[in-house]
Amino acid sequence: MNNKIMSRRKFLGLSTGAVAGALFGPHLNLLMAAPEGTFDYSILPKGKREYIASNCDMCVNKCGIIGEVVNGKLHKINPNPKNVKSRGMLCAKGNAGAAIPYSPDRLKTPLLRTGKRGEGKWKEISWDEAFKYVAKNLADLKQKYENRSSVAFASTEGFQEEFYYYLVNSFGSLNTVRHTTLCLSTNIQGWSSVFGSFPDADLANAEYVIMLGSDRAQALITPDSVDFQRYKPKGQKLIVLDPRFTETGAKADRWYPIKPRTDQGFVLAMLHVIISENLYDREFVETYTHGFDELKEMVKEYTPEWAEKKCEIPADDIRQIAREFADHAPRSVIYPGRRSSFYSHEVYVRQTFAILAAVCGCWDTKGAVVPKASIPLTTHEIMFPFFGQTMDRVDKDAVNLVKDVVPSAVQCPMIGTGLPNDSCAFLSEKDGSWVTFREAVLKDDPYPVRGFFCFKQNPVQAVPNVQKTMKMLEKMDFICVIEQQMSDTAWYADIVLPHSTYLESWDPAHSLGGIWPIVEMRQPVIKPLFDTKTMFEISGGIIHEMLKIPSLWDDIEPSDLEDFKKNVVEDILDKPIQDYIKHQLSKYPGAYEQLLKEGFYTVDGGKPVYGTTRKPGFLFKSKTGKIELFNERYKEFGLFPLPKYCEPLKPQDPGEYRFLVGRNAWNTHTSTQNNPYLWEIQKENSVWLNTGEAKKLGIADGEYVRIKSKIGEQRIKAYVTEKIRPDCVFYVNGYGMKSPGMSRVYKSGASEAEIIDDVLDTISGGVCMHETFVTINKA
Amino acid sequence: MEMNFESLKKEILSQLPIKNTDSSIPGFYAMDDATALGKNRVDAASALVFKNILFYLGLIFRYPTEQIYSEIETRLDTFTDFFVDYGGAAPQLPPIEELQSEYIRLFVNNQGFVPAMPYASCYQSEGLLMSDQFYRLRQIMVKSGFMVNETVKELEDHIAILLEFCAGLLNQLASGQASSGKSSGACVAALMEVSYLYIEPMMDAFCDRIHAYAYDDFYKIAGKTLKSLMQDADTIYDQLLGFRIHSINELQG
Repeated sequence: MNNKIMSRRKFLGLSTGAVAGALFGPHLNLLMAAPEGTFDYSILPKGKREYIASNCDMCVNKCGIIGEVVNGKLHKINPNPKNVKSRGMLCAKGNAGAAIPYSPDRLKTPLLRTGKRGEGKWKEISWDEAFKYVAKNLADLKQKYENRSSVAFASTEGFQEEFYYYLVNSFGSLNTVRHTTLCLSTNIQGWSSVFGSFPDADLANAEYVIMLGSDRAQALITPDSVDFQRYKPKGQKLIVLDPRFTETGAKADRWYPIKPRTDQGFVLAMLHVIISENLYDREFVETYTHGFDELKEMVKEYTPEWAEKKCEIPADDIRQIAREFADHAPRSVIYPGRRSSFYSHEVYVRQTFAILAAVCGCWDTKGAVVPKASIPLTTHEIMFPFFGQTMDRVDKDAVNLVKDVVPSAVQCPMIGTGLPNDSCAFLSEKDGSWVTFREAVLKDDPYPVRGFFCFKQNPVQAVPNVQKTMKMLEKMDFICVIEQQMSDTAWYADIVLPHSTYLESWDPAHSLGGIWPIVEMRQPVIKPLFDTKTMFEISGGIIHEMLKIPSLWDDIEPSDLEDFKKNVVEDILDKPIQDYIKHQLSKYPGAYEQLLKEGFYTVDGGKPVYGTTRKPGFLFKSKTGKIELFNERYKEFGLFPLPKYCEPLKPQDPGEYRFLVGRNAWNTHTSTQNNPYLWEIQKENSVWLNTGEAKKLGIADGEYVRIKSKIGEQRIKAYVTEKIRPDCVFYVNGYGMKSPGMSRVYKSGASEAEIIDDVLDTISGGVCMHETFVTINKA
Repeated sequence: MEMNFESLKKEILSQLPIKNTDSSIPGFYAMDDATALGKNRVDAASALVFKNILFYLGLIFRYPTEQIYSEIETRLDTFTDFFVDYGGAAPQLPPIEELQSEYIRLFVNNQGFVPAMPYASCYQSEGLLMSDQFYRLRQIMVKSGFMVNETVKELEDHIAILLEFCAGLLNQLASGQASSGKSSGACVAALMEVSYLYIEPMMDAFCDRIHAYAYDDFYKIAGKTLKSLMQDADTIYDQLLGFRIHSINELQG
């Protein structure tokens, strides 16, 4: 034994006086006496095993899961074999969800900022303090700006989001902004301009499928990804057009490395062939559509030979694909896909896809593109107060706001700025447009927005041009983030409220529309860890505190306030959420019990729904009530009523590459890369660079390079491959985090938010993530 | 007196109705019958000192509310020699706001990850909360007469709770609450298991990360002190309980 240890042991023997006499009061104890029978010893060591049905929340799909719980701990997440939407599948992300509640990084208690924004100084506060603090700040903002819309509310889709809107509507702001314009708003707008709605594709029964830019083998969507894997090998013919040789391309009968943003030209040429050769569905066109003659006239100029020059696909192949598509109709699918935040005028691209489906009658029948059916739930009849101090949306005047982010090269001469001349008409009021909204806030036009709430969204990482997002946050008097993890956005908040994970909470029932409509809800698979709450509880807590501040209610009628207290607070928020769910399901006896047992509910045994819109008298959501090949509203607002071809943006300098971004099957955008199980699959991203180009640049496979756009620069490993066109480079998103604390992916690979310019699609308000050009150099 | 721990353990296990059938979870599964462990005389005075040291360290590794901060501040002089002895310096308590933000940054939430996760589970198997051993800990705690206060929303293997638990066990031994051979033995077994299978394995990474990431010296010294103390645990337990453990492997079930 050495002297040092002896010295320490001496401490025990000799220095005992004061230390031994130190008395700590019982009020300091974290532990208490355990009453008899506190713990069921019989469950150890083998354990008590339970199986609890719920639904995944690792991405948008909400696949059915069965939580396998041992001694109260989630041991494993299994797929739910009966779920008709996810088809018994659970992907890597779904499996890795088992780590979510047990992540030591998760938020555990409300945190209040004590230092400067972004400095990382916080103090813990109780929920009561947090609710009071938020309510007081709302009252201060209302008083200072005399405009409830001076507070903006951002969120992303999810089962609890509807309760976030209880908070939004209780305060009375009209400024909400969601993820849609970062994802699929162009798709929704383009397809809706023809059919009045955004449909699904029946890949389980289609005979012939064309996918343009969709990578269903990697970017998983249920049931499409499952059906594509299952039915393609059984004879379904698949044509893939993508600048990259994707996993989906690898399974295709034919893959074409199409020149970016020329998909529209390819489909216009298909339309030319189908119409000129009378291969279209004449009966369907006459019965259901409007504007065929105008379409026929427009596509005359778009010959396959013309298209070949644009998209670099042989004219004969275009002609053959067009004939095959028409031959298999109506069981032919031009695949709508999901994320379409690709190029300028992307709405016209998607409108062209939809028109192809329409003229071939590939609509609302087995094996075609089919409008989503749904199982309607009972809604609570709620009237939120009508507030006097609520101004219109800040991004209403879109034309003036976004002219800086619409490159002149893509502004169509025929339509001036290329924007709708009634400003915001084509943006969803609820979704807003992230880029437009941010421009408005930065310019204080038409009024200042100084409060910002953010629920489960991470705009610092997710919205292109991070510098602008940071400037926007700097302008705020108050920022409240409701999250599960300390995201980059939460890091800049004034208060962070910890949300329970999807495995710990009751989530309301949701009707998920589709060819196989389904109702899902969530029940806790495990007991909540730490001091977190759900949005249902958080909204309730804040609203209760708001009710204690008279100035928050001085611009409504007293009777409205009383109705609000009764109908919203007492009847909904003050009651258990299970009551809310039971009310939602009240017209389906036994549905609640089935959801508890199975995790989902269907009517008619979960059979597919076809033909709703083919019934006599059905009116499509369009100005004419028909499927509009020629869009009357677009004409009214100065847009192309028919999808005339728009030229793609071109690089400004030689040596520039078009930057493409996408995802793999084991990550969801920027949210899952730090998950320990998923990180094992991929630890950093790498940039795809064509072999010939790499040779010219002297870059070897695996070598680090610098990728630079006008927005920023990143360092990343090169993946030298033949699987990408020479004029493009690509990497998956979600890596290269800025935060030194993002343990697993800090400085691992590159971030896309640091590179991508904030170019705007002119009609939908969606961002164009593939309109950025970059240079590549050795690092 | 130095005892052969391995033979002791064999003796215990041979008498047990519950066998450790799950080899993935270390531990005795022996507390009810750990009579042999309780045969030795406990140095009550030293046990009381050690109990107070552990309780005070537990306070330091809790979130410093005004009450906890005040308690730490009030008692700091009492423990100065101890810190100097084990941590090489006397810690200076920074203002409460700074300590709170430092605590959160190091142990609760940071941008992306927590530098020094205070949970024993995070240093076992997959690095996540509530490892398989966690339930074993909960069982030991309840069998020893303790549970986490219902108002405390923390996990049982948080370092502050582990230290308080050890302090509670030492108090039982020192105060004579665990006076019979059987209860004393169970108490000692629980103390050994928590010390060596939960606290000790996290010490290197936990304390080294504190040292690497802390802005302020307070937690650096506290971390160094805790680590040194646990390195010295075998000799301390030898003095307090009359036997020593030669290696952690002796405790693996």
